[in-house]
Amino acid sequence: MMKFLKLNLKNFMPFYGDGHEIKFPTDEYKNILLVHGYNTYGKTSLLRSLRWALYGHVSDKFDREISYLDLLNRTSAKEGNYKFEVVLDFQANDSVYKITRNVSSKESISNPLNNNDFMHQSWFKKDGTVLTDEEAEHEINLIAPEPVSRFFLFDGELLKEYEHLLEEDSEVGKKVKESIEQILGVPSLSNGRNDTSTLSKKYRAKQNKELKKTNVSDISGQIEELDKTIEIHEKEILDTKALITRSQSRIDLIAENINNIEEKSKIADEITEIQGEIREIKSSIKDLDNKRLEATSSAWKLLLKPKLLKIQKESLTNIKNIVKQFEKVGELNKEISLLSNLELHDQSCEICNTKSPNIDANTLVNKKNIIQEELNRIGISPDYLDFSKINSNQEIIDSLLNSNEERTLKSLDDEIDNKSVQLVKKESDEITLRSDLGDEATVKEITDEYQKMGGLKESIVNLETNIQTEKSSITTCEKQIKLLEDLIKESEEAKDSPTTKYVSILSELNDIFSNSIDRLRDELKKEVEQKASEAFSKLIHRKIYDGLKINNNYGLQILNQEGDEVPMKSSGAEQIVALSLIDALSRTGRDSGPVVMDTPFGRLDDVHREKIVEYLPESASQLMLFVHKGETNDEMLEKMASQIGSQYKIDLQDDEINSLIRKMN
Amino acid sequence: MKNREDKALEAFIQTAQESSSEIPENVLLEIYQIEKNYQYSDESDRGVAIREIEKVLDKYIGSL
Repeated sequence: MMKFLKLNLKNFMPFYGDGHEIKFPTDEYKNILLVHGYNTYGKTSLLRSLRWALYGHVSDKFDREISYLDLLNRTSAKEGNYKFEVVLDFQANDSVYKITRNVSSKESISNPLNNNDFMHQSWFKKDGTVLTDEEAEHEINLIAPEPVSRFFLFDGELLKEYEHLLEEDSEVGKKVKESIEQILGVPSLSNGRNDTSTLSKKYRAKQNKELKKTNVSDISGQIEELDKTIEIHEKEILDTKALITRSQSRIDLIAENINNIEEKSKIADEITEIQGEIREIKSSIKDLDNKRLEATSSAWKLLLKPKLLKIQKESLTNIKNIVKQFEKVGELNKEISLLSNLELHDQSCEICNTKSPNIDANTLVNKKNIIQEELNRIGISPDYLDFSKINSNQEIIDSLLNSNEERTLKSLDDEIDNKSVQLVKKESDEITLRSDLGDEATVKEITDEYQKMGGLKESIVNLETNIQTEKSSITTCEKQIKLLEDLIKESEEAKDSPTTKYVSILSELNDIFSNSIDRLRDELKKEVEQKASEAFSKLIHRKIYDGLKINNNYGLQILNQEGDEVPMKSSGAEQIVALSLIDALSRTGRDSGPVVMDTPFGRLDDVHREKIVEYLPESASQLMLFVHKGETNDEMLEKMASQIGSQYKIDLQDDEINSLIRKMN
Repeated sequence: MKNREDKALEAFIQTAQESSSEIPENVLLEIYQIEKNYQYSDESDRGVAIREIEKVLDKYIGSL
């Protein structure tokens, strides 16, 4: 049973410098390792480091190999240090293994640009002894074969690929099916069939030579001819397969190109949109400039403001004085009027007509004179026209001072500033987008690319039909050979020859291998269906489903309790089906081993996440979960606590660019 | 968790039994084991497996 022990990274992807270490839990019951990390911090890089340690190469999500330059930490590269290293310790089948891989730039290269500028070294130790490259490859094929690694080192985001198994002609589905058959052990039998076929040809050729001058030389000659015909068909198949591979590569390129063109098309649309926005902003700025110009034409008022304020103050004082004079004059005139009344009415009270014995005529005259003097002292007789004039001036001053030119200008200036900032930003966005765009894409280009792709796909279908035709021709030849072999075997000249025995036994072995492949496939499908259904019933929350049904591609459909297929509408359900399949394949096809899952819970709700965490540790020797914050919660972690062997966190280093691995207590 | 049963081997042996093969089971097992060990070798690198099968056959036919 394989178990990871320790992983050390140095300058690998975002893990700058050394000291990045993970110790894997080896306890049978506390076999979960949790690695927490935000998106983009390096969880997928961690998964890739394991893959790179085991196989010496790693691909991106488009299945393209990642170059050494991209595996090297960028900060390290900027500093001129072009060396990165991954060391993986693990145990399997009672032995301890250590794989050390490092890549550094060649001595003569100061600025490496591609893989040829680098040197890749690796040491594979088994129980302390260094193995040769061939031995190392063989050991890895026995312990953790790369073709089946997708089932134990998997990226949760790629679970969608399993949905392609439900489509009959899907290219992705074919690749997944091939991987499934590899984990299920089909290659043991299919290689056996091919190897015994190769050996059969060799011994038939030898037999043909031995029987040249015998009675059965004609039969032997016919077999030789049939073998030659088979070789021609086989070559044709190989050539056709090469053509299919080339066509598929071209389709991949076209798909990438279409993707690029579509991206460019989106960018072009964005540029058009931004150009519209720029036009609008420019037009707004122009309008605002006009308004500002208009506002500026009466801005002379602002220059007069200090003077006007002074005049306003003086004018107000004048008005107050005039009002006071009006009041005083009014009062004095009223007094004179009263005194005059007293004179006229013989010093009787004007109102009650009562005589006032204390006031004589002289006193009245004196008083009137004093008041008149006071009126004379005031000197001016308030002129209503002057007052009216001053008041009118005051109104003008007020209107000048209270005008909103200042506020208008200020708000226009602010608005123009805002718009100008927006304009600069939009223009800068446009420049950036234009540099991303390069040559502008056209709809025609996309249509052309789709047409090319369609043509290639059609040619692949035709080529596959050709392969089937070639294969049937080979089967016909083989049947004929078998009949002829029986004749030779019975002949006196050949029956006791050792070569005939080789031919006969190899032919028998070839039949056994060939016939056992179909038997194995049928049995595996039944078993995978049963185990996936078991897993599904444990993983799915709702108990309204009866199980899963497998198709020829190992695609799985959910069945309801009436046994009818349920269309999968939820992406969560699809993910659970995919996980059930992986679990079933893992339990059917390989000994218990570690399972590493990067972002495993993406499309699942809390209930199903918990179910998976309850279930999966039972089916793996170690379960490594690389999760982001949104995938776990305290309740879930509490439930898992008794099974968690260790926890790590991927954090950013102080530079906020590179990552580091921190052990959590 | 216990190791899986070898379904491919089961299918291989059952097919041999049904075809009334005269090849002894131990020879079949040896050949199957070679194929199992080299099941993930590249198509272009089958030489080692083929040589090992030949050795098993040499021994078996030599013993007849």
